[in-house]
Amino acid sequence: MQFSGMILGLAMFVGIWVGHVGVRWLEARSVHIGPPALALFVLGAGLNLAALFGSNLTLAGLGSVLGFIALYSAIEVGRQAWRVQHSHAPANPRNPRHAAYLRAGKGTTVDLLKRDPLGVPQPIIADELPAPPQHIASDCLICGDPACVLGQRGVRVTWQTAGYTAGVRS
Amino acid sequence: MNWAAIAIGLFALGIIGFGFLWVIKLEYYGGYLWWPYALAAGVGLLVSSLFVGDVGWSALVGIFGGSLLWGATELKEQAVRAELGWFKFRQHKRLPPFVKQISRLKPPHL
Repeated sequence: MQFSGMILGLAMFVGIWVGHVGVRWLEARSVHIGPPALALFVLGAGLNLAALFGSNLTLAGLGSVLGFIALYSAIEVGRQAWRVQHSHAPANPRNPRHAAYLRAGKGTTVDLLKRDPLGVPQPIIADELPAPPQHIASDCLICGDPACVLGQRGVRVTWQTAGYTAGVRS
Repeated sequence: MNWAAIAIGLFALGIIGFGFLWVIKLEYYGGYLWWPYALAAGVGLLVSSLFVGDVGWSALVGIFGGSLLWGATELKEQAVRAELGWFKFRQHKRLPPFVKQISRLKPPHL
């Protein structure tokens, strides 16, 4: 029996799992995203370098697989910050960077993915979003223009109208 | 220098990218209830890798299997993302065989 595939396959699954959860955890707790991204980059590069000089293919492959997952996770830290700003991931109000997003009317503390699929488009209801900052309360959530009316559809998308339906990003 | 190990790592990276693609497409056309099939395919590939003699090929089969396991856990969240409007949503999906039995099961997610 050849156990290399099983070892590397399970490492792939666990690596993605830990990377997935770890990136969320790190991004939610880091005031600046640069240091964790750099740490993951150094970890990934180090693992790949070690793999390059490994003599056993299974162990060296393991190092490289985990190394590339770490390198990918370094990029994901930045993408996670984007998700938080666009309400695709919950903001941590204790993190000053996230608190600044919330003050600027970006993001939400609610995990909008924590729900079951219904088989139909699900509107994001206003209660799930943070209270709007006063200065943008009547602005269009798409372009920020208080006078904006989305011409073609004739729908003005603001916090008040809760016309914040599926597909509309803040 | 062990370039074969780096090739295995690059293959894993490519498979992660392919994983995002097939999860989005499978959810769009078939819905998240295909998750047991993805899970079974992943387990099947992992077990098959035990019987591939060559270390390199066994590694590639195992890595692909591991990524299918991960994809199976992502399908439910992808369905929610599509319903929230973050991805394209398709009303009429091609549902999997045994859909009634599958819908009674709790889909896995990380």
